[in-house]
Amino acid sequence: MKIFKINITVLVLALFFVSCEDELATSPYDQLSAENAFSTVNDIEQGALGAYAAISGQNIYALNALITDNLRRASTNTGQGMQIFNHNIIPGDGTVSGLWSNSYAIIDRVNRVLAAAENIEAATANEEDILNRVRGEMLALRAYQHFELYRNFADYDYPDNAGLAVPYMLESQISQPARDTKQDFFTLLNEDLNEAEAILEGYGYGSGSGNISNERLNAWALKGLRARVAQYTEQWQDAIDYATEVINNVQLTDASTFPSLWDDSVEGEVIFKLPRLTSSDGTISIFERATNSDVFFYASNELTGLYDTDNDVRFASYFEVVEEGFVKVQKYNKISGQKNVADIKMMRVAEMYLIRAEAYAQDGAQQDLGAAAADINTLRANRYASNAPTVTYNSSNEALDDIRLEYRLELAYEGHRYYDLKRAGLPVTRIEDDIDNATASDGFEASSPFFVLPIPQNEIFANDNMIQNPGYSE
Amino acid sequence: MFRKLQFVLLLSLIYSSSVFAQSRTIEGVVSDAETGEAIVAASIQIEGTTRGTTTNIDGEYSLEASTGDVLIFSFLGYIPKRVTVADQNTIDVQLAPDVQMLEDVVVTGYTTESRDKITGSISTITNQSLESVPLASFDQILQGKSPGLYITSGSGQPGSAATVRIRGSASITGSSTPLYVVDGVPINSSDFATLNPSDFESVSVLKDASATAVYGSRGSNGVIVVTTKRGQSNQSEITYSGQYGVSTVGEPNFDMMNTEQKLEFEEILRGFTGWAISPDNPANAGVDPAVLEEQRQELIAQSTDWEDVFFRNGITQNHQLSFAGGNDRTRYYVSGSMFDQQGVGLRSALERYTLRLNLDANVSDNITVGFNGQGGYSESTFIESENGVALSNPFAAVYLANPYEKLFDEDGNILSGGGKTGANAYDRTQNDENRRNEIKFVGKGFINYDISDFRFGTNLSLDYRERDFDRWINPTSYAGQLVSQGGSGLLSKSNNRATRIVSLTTAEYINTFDDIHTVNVFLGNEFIKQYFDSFGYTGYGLSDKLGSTPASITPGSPDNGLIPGVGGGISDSALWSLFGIIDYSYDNKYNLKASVRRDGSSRFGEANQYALLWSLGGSWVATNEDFMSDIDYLDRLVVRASYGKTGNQLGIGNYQRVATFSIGSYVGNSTIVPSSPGNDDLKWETTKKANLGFDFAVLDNRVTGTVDLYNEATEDLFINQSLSRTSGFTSLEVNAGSMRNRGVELSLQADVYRSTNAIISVNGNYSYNQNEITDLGQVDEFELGTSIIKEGLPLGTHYVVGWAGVDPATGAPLYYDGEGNVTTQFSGDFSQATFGTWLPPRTGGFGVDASYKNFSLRSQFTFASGYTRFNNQSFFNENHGFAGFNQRTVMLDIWQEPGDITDIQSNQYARQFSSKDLEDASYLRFRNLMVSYRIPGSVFNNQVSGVRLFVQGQNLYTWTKFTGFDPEDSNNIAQYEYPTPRIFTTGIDINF
Repeated sequence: MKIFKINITVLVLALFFVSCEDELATSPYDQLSAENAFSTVNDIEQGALGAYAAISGQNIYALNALITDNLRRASTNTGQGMQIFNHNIIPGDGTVSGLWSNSYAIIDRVNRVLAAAENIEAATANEEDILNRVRGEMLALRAYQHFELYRNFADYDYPDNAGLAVPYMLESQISQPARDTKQDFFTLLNEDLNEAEAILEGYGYGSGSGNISNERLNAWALKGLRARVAQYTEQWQDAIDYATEVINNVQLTDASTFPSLWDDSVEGEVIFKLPRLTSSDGTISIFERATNSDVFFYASNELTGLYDTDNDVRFASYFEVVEEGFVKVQKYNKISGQKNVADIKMMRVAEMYLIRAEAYAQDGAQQDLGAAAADINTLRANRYASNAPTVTYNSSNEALDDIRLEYRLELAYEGHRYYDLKRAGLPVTRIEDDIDNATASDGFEASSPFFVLPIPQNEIFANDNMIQNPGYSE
Repeated sequence: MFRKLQFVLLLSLIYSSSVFAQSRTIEGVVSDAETGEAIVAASIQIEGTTRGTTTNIDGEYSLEASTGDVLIFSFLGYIPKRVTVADQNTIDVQLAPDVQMLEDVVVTGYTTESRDKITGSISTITNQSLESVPLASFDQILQGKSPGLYITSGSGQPGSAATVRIRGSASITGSSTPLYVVDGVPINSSDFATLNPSDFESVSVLKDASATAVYGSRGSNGVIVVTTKRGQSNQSEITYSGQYGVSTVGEPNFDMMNTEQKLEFEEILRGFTGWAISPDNPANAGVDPAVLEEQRQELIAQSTDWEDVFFRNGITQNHQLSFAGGNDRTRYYVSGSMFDQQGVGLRSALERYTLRLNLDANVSDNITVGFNGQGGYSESTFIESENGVALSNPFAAVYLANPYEKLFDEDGNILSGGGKTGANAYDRTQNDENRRNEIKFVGKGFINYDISDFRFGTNLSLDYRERDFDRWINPTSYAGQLVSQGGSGLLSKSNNRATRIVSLTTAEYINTFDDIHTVNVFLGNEFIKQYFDSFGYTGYGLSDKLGSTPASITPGSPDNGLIPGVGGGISDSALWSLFGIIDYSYDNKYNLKASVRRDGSSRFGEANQYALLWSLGGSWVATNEDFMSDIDYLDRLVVRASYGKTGNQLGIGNYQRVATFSIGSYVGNSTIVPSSPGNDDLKWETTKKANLGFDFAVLDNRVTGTVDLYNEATEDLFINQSLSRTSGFTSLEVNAGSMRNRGVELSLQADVYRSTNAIISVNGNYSYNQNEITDLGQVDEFELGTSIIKEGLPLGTHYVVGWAGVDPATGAPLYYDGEGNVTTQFSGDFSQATFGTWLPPRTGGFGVDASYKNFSLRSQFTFASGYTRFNNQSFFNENHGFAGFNQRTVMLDIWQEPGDITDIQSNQYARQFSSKDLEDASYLRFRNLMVSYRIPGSVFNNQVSGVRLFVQGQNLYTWTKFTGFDPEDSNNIAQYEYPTPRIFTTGIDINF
């Protein structure tokens, strides 16, 4: 008994002085710490995929469709997309802040991968190659997303070097960066593009050896991006040169194959896309609800009236006529059993023809109205099952008007319309037929502040150095 | 053992003359030595045997005993008395009150203290007011029972946990939920469905620093300490309790349209069915009005009363059997219970089984070992989309389904399909499953070693909970066809386990010097480890040949798109603490208490891993002073004051300090992506609590009460600091900002009438809490949807555009712009923070208890006032934009032509969410009424010692202006939450 008692005292006292300090050093089971997130070349590759995974793509589709003149409200819409559709464009809007934060989230991932890759030693030539390629892709993606921000949140006045672009983020950090001037912005953008181009040269999309898939930024996507940047900054000769490089390397899909682009059975002319295999990868639910038959928006009567419904294969690929005046957008709803699931096409060769045609049509040393018409004729020849029209242009304005029409027909709902009107200095106008009693706006002027989206409220809030765009409340 | 032998030997020597003793009947009366009043239910036990009895209502007893037997007379609160039977046949006994016992011992968690020596603010709720309430979750039973404790049930689902706040909310983004401790074991808040409240002896609510600081970093939100029942030495009590009853849904505070009204409304709107069959519709120009009328009558005839379809009277039954008792060395309490309650919503129910064993034994003169534990199992079934704004939520569907919608076709099939709001929701109640099985174990093993003035103890305790969720959408149901993966139902199963292991070692020293200095020192070393893991899967493409079984899942392939979803995760946390408590009492007049605790948490980085939390408290028992003894009417006056610092670490992630990356997936490929920015500087929220309290008893203890004033300042609040999105993240959890809760609490009990046969007493409590956000760090305010967090305003402040009525000329809705001008424009920029808060500042409860002879009555009312809540239900049901669904009758007042004075705007204008949807949610609720009758054991020839019969009603009536289901809720907005039911039960308690 005595021994027992003493033992208990000892035991209790011993327990008293037990330190559990080591037990406090827990670490997460389900996550990786920053130190061991990237330790191999394969990790870097997965980090790069993570950056691609963050790209919404759909947000650009939605913005361009909702804010312009290609949709009309359906009676079964209970508010979906109506803020933007009614031009209630405010800094607190979720679509607006989504565009801003999505791009910067991608850029942050890119910057983390770029920084981590610096510290990885390649063991083999193959690994060296992967590291090099990923670096090229990430630089290209950083440029791509910064340019998306520019498209949405800056005006296109050019050259206005002192005008404000957006902060160009070169490293992952928690900070309150000020907006770069356009001059600084494009200097940094071009540095990224130049370096990316030097690396990605040789990694084209297609069947050639060393090529990479169109699900990643390959050489042609990079050059396509450069053509786009040149177009937006009115560097017409550059636009022609870069577009030509793409056109010469990737074939435009012809009219008979064109419908297969939309059920994703053919890669064809798609030079960069975001794969969406099932609804869990993301749906494009701008026009209809994914889970039932509720329609949010029909195609605008103005748009559907512009197609040659008999001959233009695009009409059947993009639309389904429910009844007279009610045309459903079916462009992203072509896979049976997978409603609203489709790869998000970020860039197609068709756009290159349009960029080049526009560049040829603009005034300047590069102007060549014949070449502009030839590009449009080539594109139409590949879009009409028969009776493709051919044009000749007699003036720059005539050419540009026709090219814009083709832009609208070819790239409907692909994230271009708003930017195209903005570049052209044209207003958003909706026709009477496309306005129902819940539609509060019939458009806005070319001079409207709405052509430059407001810097999101939550960014202004968190970033003392951020300057709001003109026309919006702080 | 040896001592017992000696004793028996001694006895046998003394009484050797009565060796041939015969057993005979001994009778007598047990009374209070001071007052002379009879003691009812006092225990009489023959030592060394299991034989015994209890006194009846008049304090009388009789039992068989022999000369030489030792009778032990005992009753809780009195010093037991031993009487040896000589040759007398009558033994009357006077028991002296045990002053120590009567002085209300209060369990404060790690220690117990006598009520008179308490320096802190602690409310105690005894089991008398907990027992027999037909609610499964004990936190709901505490509603209105203690000042400073505000409890909102939130859902009428049987067993759902309530939201509990002690002295207001002390955190913005963190948790304001108090710590729960059962018999010294900290348990998960929110899973009380599998605990049996009938086992609880008392509940202590610890509020101020002096009471809570010993819980350190878990003390800021207050602590609720539960003590379960224990056996008494030399007693044996067997109790059966049972009750049976019915739950019903209360009367709604609004009127829905019937078919005639809805059709009329649709005609006004020129849309939907009512317009399609209207003679005014130009489309019907050529149609015979009689045909249209016939169609109208047909719709009226086929009307469905959706309340009848979706609501039911649920059955409640509850049975419990308990055994309590013990001998000199061992005490036990064993209970088993079964609780079965159907909700008022179809398919919702709780079935629960629990077992408890509380055992302690003196294994030697100074070693006590014991075990307290409960194991339980419960099965809950839920409605769809509980508390969600969803058409599948039956409490939404019931008011959104059109009255002319049919439920069944001629063959009795459910008429589900697109737009069939009522039938689709009903289909889900009949064909789908949503279930949760829960296993819960709370237990503690302990050993205490007493040596002279010291006591050493160590214990190991475990709180374990395992939950299995089953969700089945029948492939043949309409919802099953809508499943986007495969259109043939889904089956989802998941499992999660929460384990908490606590090891506690204590040393205590108690001594009294010179009869007036009492010192108590308590030291502890506690380690708490929590572990959580979960796993689950969802499969698609179910076979309609099989029922709810994983075997019905179609294996997924890239082609069929039926890849099952799989998920899960693991996390853990640890807390290591050293703490000490010193109590010093001088002459029962002056009491001092100091506590200090050093907590180390795994949740914080090295720089802030440890927190030092402390308290100081003092009390002065004024009535023990000589100079106060002259005041006749004043029986007791105690003044208490305390100050200290407590902490909070709830509501942030276990690994918030670490910057992390996670493994993601991109179309089937693994990715590595940043998932949290991490903040190594994160530390505890701390609250400095000050309290001043008074306890008093006057008029011969007939009126007793407590007043407490407090001020609690919380600093280093967890705030989601908004980040520039250029960082790749939206926010970072930081410590910034501070908040203050201050208020006053009163509680009063008074015996307004007291006689030999009858007592009428009233009780009440009232709390006023003022909350104010005093600092937010980086910013002055941030909006959270329709709420605003702003310096100078209380938490929960509404932020919305002011409603200014309807323009009689145009029917346009009018709003107030930011400057107070009336405008037809609606803009979120006009939002104002002038509509109050949804957190009620004034809360309380009161009741009347009465007893007359064997009858007794207990009533309880609760109230809350001074707050407003949004009513999202009126936004949907008073909204022409949702005219495709049923509407409230007030919508018939819709503006139609110039000059109409109405509050319902024209349908030409969009209905906006504005201050129109804010309603005063103040309420007074008749929460409980119980009438019981006690039949003395003598009626049954003492075969049983007592029987109690009762009937009771829960939530009998609510007085409120609020037009949602329930003004009392844990959020700012009513949105078709499962309403709190009315429950009527009748029951019986039998003591053997």
